[in-house]
This record gives sequence, structure tokens and C-alpha cells, in this order.
Amino acid sequence: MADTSTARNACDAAIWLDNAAGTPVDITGSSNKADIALDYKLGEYTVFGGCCTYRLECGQDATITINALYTTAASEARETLNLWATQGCDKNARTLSIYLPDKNVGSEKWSGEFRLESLSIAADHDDAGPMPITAVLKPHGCVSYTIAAT
Amino acid sequence: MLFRVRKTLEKGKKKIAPGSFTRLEWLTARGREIMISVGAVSEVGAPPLAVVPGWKARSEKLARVGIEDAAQFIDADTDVLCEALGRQPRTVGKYRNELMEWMTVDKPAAG
Repeated sequence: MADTSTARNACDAAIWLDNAAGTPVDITGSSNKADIALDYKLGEYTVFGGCCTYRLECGQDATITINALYTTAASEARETLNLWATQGCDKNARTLSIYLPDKNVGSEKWSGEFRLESLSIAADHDDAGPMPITAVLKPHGCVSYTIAAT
Repeated sequence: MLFRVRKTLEKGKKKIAPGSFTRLEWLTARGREIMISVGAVSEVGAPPLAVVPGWKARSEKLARVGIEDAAQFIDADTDVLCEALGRQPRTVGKYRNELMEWMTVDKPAAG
């Protein structure tokens, strides 16, 4: 089989996250990593006299981890995530959309309503780079996978 | 040009399901090429109208104006179709929907 000529990196990926008003904010320029992990719930069983393991599938889940930079401008990843994290005990689910490999026609769009599971900010005196912020998001409902047609 | 949708497309807030048809009229030629190259749509290999159940007589009339397959019919100008078939635009619209429905692939059953 011929070697692929269509491999793409994540340099032009785009990440949009709703702010408190429900307006999508482009946090692409203040974040640098997004891990999309899809999980499927499997239950396994074996039977007397058999040596193989079988599995049934029921339900799915996902975890999206976003790495952002500590920046000071408003409406960037840090402020959007910090305000979400400190909103109180009844945080709303927010729409998160990740476009791969870029935000153009024909690109993949992973999207859904998400709740914030954790937010961590690492302030390290020995690190000269920007402080890293890590947000872990869990879906509230299904994660959709579509192709951007506009 | 008519395309069959192969992956769920998102156009603004609207989702276009696999199995349905689109003209992708809002995209440039380059945009359509990209959509084909990523496998999101494919050009429709439409059946001849003569083999569509109940369309034999209509196919003969339409062949006189160069419309021979289902994609050509769906894409054709309504006035041309009305004149070729001697029907009102509303009836031609019904024919068009009938063909689209006939060609659309049903969503697979879960499981």
C-alpha cells in the first residue's frame, strides 16, 4: 500500500468554548493542547466450558483535556476557564467545539455540551515558560462528530 | 451537481445526515473538491430514470430534452421539467421529492 500523503499535524486546530453568556469564544490562541478521549462501557463475561472472553457494550463517555496558557487578556482561555470554575455550585454545561486539523470546509468538528470537572493552574518559580492551565471537561450528553460544511 | 452525504455535515446550526443529498451550492468548486477528498460526500451515480419504478413513460418524455438519469432530473430547471412533462411546478416538485426519497439511503437500524 502506498504511503499516505494526507497526514496533518495540530498546528492549525481551533478550539471554541462558550463564555458565561453562552457566546462561543475562540480560545485557540491561548491554548496549545486538546486531548479527546472517548470511552465505551464494556461488560465482560465467560461461560462454563469456554476459554474465550466475550464483551457487551452499553453506554459511552468522553474526557476532553485542554491545556491553556496563563495570559492576562480578557476573553482568552484563562479568563473563560477561571470564570467558569468560580461560577458557583450550579455551573451550566457549556458548548465546546474542537476543529481538526483546522477550521475550514471539510474539517472534523468534535462538539458537545460539557461540564468542568477540574481546573488546575501550576505556578512554578523554576519554570520560565508561561504558567500552564489544565482543564478537564466531561460531556453532558453525547459528543457529536461532524464535518464542517461552511 | 448532486452529492450524496456520507458523513454528518454541519452547516451553521443545521446538520445534514448521511444518506441524504446536497448540492453544496454554498461552497466554491475548491470547497466541493475538499468535501469529496475527505470522504464527506461523493458524486451521485444516479440510476437511469427508465429503471425507476413507475417512471417509464416520464423517462421517455424527459429523454427528449436530454434528461436521462435521476441526478439530472433533481438538478434540472423546474420550467424545463414542466414543459417536458406537461405538468405544473407543484407536480414536478412532487416528482423531485419522490426521486430523492427513492434514492436516499435509510439510516441503519441501531445494533
